[in-house]
Amino acid sequence: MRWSKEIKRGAAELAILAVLSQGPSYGYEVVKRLRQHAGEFLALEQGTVYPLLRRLEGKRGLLNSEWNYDDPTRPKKYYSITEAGRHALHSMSRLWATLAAEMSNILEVCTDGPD
Amino acid sequence: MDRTEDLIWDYLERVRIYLPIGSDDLLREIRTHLLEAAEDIGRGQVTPGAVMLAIEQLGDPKTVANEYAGTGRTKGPVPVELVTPLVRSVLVVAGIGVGLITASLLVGPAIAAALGEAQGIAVSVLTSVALGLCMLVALVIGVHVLESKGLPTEKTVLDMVLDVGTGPFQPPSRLSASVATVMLGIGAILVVHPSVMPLYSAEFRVFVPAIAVLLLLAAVLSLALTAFGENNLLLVVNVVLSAVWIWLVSQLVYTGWPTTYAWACEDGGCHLVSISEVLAENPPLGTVLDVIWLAALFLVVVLSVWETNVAISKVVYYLHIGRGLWWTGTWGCSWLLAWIARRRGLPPP
Repeated sequence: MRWSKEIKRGAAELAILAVLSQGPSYGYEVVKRLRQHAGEFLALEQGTVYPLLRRLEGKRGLLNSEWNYDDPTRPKKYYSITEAGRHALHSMSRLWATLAAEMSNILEVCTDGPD
Repeated sequence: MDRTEDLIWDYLERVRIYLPIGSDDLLREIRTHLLEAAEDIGRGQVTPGAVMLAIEQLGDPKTVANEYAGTGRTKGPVPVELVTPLVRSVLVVAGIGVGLITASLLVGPAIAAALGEAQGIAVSVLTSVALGLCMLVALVIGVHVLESKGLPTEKTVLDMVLDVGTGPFQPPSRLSASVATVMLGIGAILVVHPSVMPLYSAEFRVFVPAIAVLLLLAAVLSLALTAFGENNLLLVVNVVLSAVWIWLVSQLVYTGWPTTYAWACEDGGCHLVSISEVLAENPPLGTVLDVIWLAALFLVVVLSVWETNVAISKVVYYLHIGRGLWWTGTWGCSWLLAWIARRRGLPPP
């Protein structure tokens, strides 16, 4: 369903920023942590997570990345949240909470309406 | 070699075909992802079976490359994941074609005069290139439609066709750039070496300093590529150098075979021998030497036009992804280092 995809896309950025606000992680770790904390709807696949990580890092500058070669056979690209990323996370969280509350009100009123 | 590494490298090779230039960091990231996912699937063991499952979970290389590169837009009738490799392959064929046409226009008349026949080389080359391009596009779309599903690590026919465009558009590796530096440096010294200078014909000798300077500049460019990696400034310098080579060839076409003497060594001593005397005794040899010389010039033009096309395409691409004029650190992966890394179970260098 196109509508659910669009919601998911918007939520995914917020979810990734929230996960990385807990500390730096590499791609696979982010995917796993999202799977742990999210339910079926928001369990993001790697095909969604990696492009988003790159986009948040690239033009938007919300993330930084650094290669870690502690295990040379498995170099890991660690992503960490920037100051701009923290600001974005803060305002996105507030918006999300407001939206969720307002939508709950609307749905509550409209679905328990005259009929 | 480890079977699991083989499976992963074969899969990454397929993904690479569909990724834009300079996406080696993505391949490293995907490789680590596969190893970690396989370890989770194999409960701490990275087995070939677990790797195959991890690869299957990740998905088709075309789709993965498209998702990871984050393009996600459709472009006309061409499936989006085919756009990058198809554009590269078309540029390869068109680049060779334009090179051949330019060389035909510049050197073709001289070859025709030397052989005493032939006309319309440029027209026939143009027709061949146009046909080649049409066949390439038809082949790619046809194969894409008919493509059968194999293992995700096995190259398909489509992969093999599109692989044509992968190599030329990769940035040069440090190894190849340093080898080029040494070879061009040696070339620059050799063309003006005191033992070589007396061999040149009077007509050709006029151009020798220019050739030496161009070789030297090319060596310096290769040295810069070794030290800093590829960037737009060095690509533009390469375009300028290639243009100067093309202009130089347009002048060299009229000099004929470049040497009039050769060294002959006998009885422990060496002396100059006039080639014109040898040619006087054997006239067809003169025609053969002229054709060899013109063929060499033809090749220089083809390569220079090719270099120009590739460099311009790369500059356009780098500008498109927001790169400026100068940056450092963009090197390609040399086949030797890639082979060593694969043998040692390391990621693509």
